Amino acid sequence: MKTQYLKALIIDQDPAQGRAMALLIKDLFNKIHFEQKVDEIIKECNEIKPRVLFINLNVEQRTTNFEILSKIPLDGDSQTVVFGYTDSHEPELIAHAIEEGFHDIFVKPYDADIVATKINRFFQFEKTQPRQINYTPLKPSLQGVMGISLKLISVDENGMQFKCDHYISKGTPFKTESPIIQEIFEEPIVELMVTKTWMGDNYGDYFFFAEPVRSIEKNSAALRRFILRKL
Amino acid sequence: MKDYVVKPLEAQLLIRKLRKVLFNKDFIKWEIPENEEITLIGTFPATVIALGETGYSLVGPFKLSPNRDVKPTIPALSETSINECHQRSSSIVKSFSGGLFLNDVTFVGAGENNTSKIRQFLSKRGQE
Repeated sequence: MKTQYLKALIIDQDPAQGRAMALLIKDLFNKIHFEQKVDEIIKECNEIKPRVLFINLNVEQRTTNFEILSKIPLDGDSQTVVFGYTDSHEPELIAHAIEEGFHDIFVKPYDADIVATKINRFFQFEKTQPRQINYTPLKPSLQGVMGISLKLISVDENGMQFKCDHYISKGTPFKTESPIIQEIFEEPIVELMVTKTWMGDNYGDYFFFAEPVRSIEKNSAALRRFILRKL
Repeated sequence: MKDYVVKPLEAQLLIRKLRKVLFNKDFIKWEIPENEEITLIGTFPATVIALGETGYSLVGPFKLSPNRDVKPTIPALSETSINECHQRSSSIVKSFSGGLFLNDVTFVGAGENNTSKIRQFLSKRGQE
């Protein structure tokens, strides 16, 4: 379902594989461009300004194709989505591709529905609102935990201020363990509660303040002792 | 609003919060020096409410930024081998209820082996 005007550019040194990918995605895009020569890619990108790039990672020198990505003029705000495709399911290759900035990697054998769903998800077409993605509801749902990386900004008598890539709701309890937690609270794991959350000046920076879920006397003494040692 | 206190009110906490907002010198604070970086992992509750071959819906008290690598620990899903896949947050996030968000996580580079294990897991649960 094409609800936006979308142009795609396939970058593939192997014309047969490039054509196969074009066939797979033809119904999703208004215009599909194809480029084999690395030297021409930058020119093509500047001229056609594709919204989506498909890059074949299945070439002898994969690093060459990772390097292509760094040369492509992607505007910070353009939100160009970059997909890789390969017939190799090596975790190292996929990890490397993600680090280099690929949004998703399709691994052979390609499933047309899965490819379409994944592409559509980035553009939030009507077709792929969350409830329409072919997920099976789980009853009962599956409980677990999510580890999120937090950057410590400051420590005061009430608790700790953190910076995070994700927004965390106020009132959320969470556990954390690290050498600094051991140093402050003299306990390996401490439960904290988010009491305040706000956005930073830069887009995507979130800050929050968390207080330990323990008796005030115990916290105060531990936090004061730690801060006085640091000051 | 600078801060808030919840009932039952504790005098010590209230006084400390007042000292903080009044920038009282007795209220001590340590800021991490600019050349130093301390990162730690926070463990937040998370629930998978729907699963498919391309990803899953994750409910939690967080709104994941798009295109970030994520790796929740869901013991019941260990047999699906999804931990072998790279998992990435997509741009779809919806409010769920009471400070919870419905996040969409997509599998990156999932192979036929992974999708067949997910299919088996779902069909087994359907039969139970």
